[in-house]
Amino acid sequence: MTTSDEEVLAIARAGFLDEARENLQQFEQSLLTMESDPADTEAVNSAFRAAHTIKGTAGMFGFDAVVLFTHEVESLLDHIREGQIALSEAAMGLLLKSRDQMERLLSEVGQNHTDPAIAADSDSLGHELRELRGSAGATAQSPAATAAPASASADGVWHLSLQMGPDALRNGLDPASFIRYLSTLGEVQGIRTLSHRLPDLSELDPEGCYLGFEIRLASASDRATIEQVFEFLREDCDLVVLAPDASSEEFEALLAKRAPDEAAKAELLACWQQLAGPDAPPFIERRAEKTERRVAEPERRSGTKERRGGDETRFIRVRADKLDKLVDLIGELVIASSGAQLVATREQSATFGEAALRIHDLVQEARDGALGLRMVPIGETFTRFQRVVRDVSKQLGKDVELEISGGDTELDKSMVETIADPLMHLVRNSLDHGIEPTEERLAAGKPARGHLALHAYHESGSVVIEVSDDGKGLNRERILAKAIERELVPANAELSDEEIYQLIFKPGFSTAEQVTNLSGRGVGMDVVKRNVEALRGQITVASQPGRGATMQIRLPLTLAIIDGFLTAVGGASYVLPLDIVAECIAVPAECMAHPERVTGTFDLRGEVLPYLDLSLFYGHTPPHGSRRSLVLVRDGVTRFGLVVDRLLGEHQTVIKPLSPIFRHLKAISGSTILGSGEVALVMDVPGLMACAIASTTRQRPLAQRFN
Amino acid sequence: MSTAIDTALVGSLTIPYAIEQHTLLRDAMAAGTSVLDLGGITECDTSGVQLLLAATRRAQSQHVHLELRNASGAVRDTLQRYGLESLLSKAQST
Repeated sequence: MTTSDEEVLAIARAGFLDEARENLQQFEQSLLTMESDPADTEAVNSAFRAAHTIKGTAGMFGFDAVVLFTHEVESLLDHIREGQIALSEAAMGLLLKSRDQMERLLSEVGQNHTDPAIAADSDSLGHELRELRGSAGATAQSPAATAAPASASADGVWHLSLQMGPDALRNGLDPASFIRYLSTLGEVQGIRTLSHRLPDLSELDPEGCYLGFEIRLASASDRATIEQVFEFLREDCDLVVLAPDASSEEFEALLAKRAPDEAAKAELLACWQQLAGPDAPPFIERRAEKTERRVAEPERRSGTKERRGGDETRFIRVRADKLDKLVDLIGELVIASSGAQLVATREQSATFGEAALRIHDLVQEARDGALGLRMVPIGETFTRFQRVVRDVSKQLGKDVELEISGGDTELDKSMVETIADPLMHLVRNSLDHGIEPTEERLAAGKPARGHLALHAYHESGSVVIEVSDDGKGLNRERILAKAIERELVPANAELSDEEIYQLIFKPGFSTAEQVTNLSGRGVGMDVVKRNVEALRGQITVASQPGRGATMQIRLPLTLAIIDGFLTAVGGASYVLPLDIVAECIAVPAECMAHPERVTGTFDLRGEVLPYLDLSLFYGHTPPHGSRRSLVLVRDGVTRFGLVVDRLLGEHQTVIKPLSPIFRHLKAISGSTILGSGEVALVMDVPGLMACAIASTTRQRPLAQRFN
Repeated sequence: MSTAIDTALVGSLTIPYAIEQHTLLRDAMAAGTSVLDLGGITECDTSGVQLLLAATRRAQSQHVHLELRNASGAVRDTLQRYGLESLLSKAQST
């Protein structure tokens, strides 16, 4: 095999794995829907479809372990769909376990090696699946058989003619199961299998399908319901359904379609006659002598194929590194365009300036487009938690429902991946320690069923993700006591509720023993916080004792490029994310009155807000006499002022991470290169805000806190 | 072919095993099998039915009477579902 072949295969395999994971997700989702609403037949179909697709594509690649195991799962689902097996708790447990096993098998494919332990699991699980299927098949069949005839006599008799496509079996669609399923709609009065297309044994493709079926079904169902049974087979079979009152012409057309020559026609007619017995529709009786031929109706299948082709072109799979390269390049373009604008201003050339502005606008659009390519809805990550909530709440013996909203909120793909772990931790914490056991809930006058919500939305240039529960909330006293014991805060500290709640994110707080309702399992909340901060996000907690707690994660829309607001402080340039700038005003009198104070409060149209003098804060000497400004920034609901020396206006900023030496600098989140080649620092607004708010209540020198 | 050649099919007569079973069956029929013992079949799906039909056809074309003997429950169920009990009744009458 040449290298390029191997490459193509590797890409195809990656594509397969991606798709299989999506299907697995859908599979799990459907199982959970089945569990919560057993009457939802579409969920069973959807699970079946997902398993089936996995099996089909795995088969194409020859991943036999996946195919064989998934086949067992699919068969069990098939039985469930036909009502032969009730969806017991055991069956659901087994299906979910099988889902996990499928995931393991797929990751084996991804790593390209096989583990005998996993194969053994496949065997034993496969055995369990077969056993469940076998046990129910025998008991359920007889009542169905006896129940059917009672209703049959009154119903009309439909005639169904199926001609299987060559790939039906290969695609995992066994007509037997569909025909079996038909008996749930009425009584299958007779069936004839047509094998005239079957080639000689030596030429037979054992995985092909050559059979045709003529079925008489006594059923009160309508045409749509009957055709629905064969929905999965639509691509792989040609189905003609003739109503009980079908006209001679319809039978004639069917005959012409199915039988290419007179001998075959005679054979088919004989078969129909035999099938219908004495109740044969008048046409079949009369038809014996007629010989004229009719034009076969056009194949319906071609139409459906075209439609599907249209759907498939809606998505293109692109390798992530290609996208990253594009985004990188656009980042450079943004800097270059800013540089051009700067030169234009310096040259004082109006036409050049105009051209530079036009380029700037286009670059901006290209930037938004490129970043948009990386955006994916968070819903997929959210739905994964259905299973977690189900499993953990079962394990804990609690009854919890999960509510998901804002699943279509988009954020950067790499962020979606990174945020899944912290979210998992928060969800498990809520389940474990937030939501009380049922008795406790009832005693507290709450509904027995706990409520956990995952919610996402966009707010001023960031994405907000909330995990909230209606449990008992955080225990303020215990957190404070623990923090004092661990010397995280001085014993006499006076802290607001918010500050106390934030203590749970301190390193070394929650790892040791189960002290608060938020203590973890090995990983502390500090790790969650670190993960979130690594994404330039923040996490806050709100709690109402007895009513529940909400964890809020706020993430920037993207990691790479932001619209910045450039300011000058003490001769250096600083960038603020433009989205959070609310307004710019002249420095208010309150700040002017105390030029030596780093922080304080000012009055904005009757509202008291904290401010931070950046010159003093960053250790510069504020310029005397020059007109300084106050930038009002908002972060979520809080607003505060930043006093800067000069406003330099809007600037597109490509954020470069700071080198590790500067990691300890809390109020700076990165650097950027200006068009002029100068370096500007990106301000970490949440960090600054923490200082502004904290220092208004404390008298400690700031330098000490941030060194 | 005067002496009856007796071949037993075992295991699963389903699509994952269709290629194997087809090879076995083809060789068996080429060797002149006239009795197929289906007692050891644990599973049978449509691909299995096709193989049995094709084997019967082949036998017919060679003017051999192929007896499907001792069909297991799995085989019987699937054939019945397809209205192909006649394949078996032949076997039972012999």
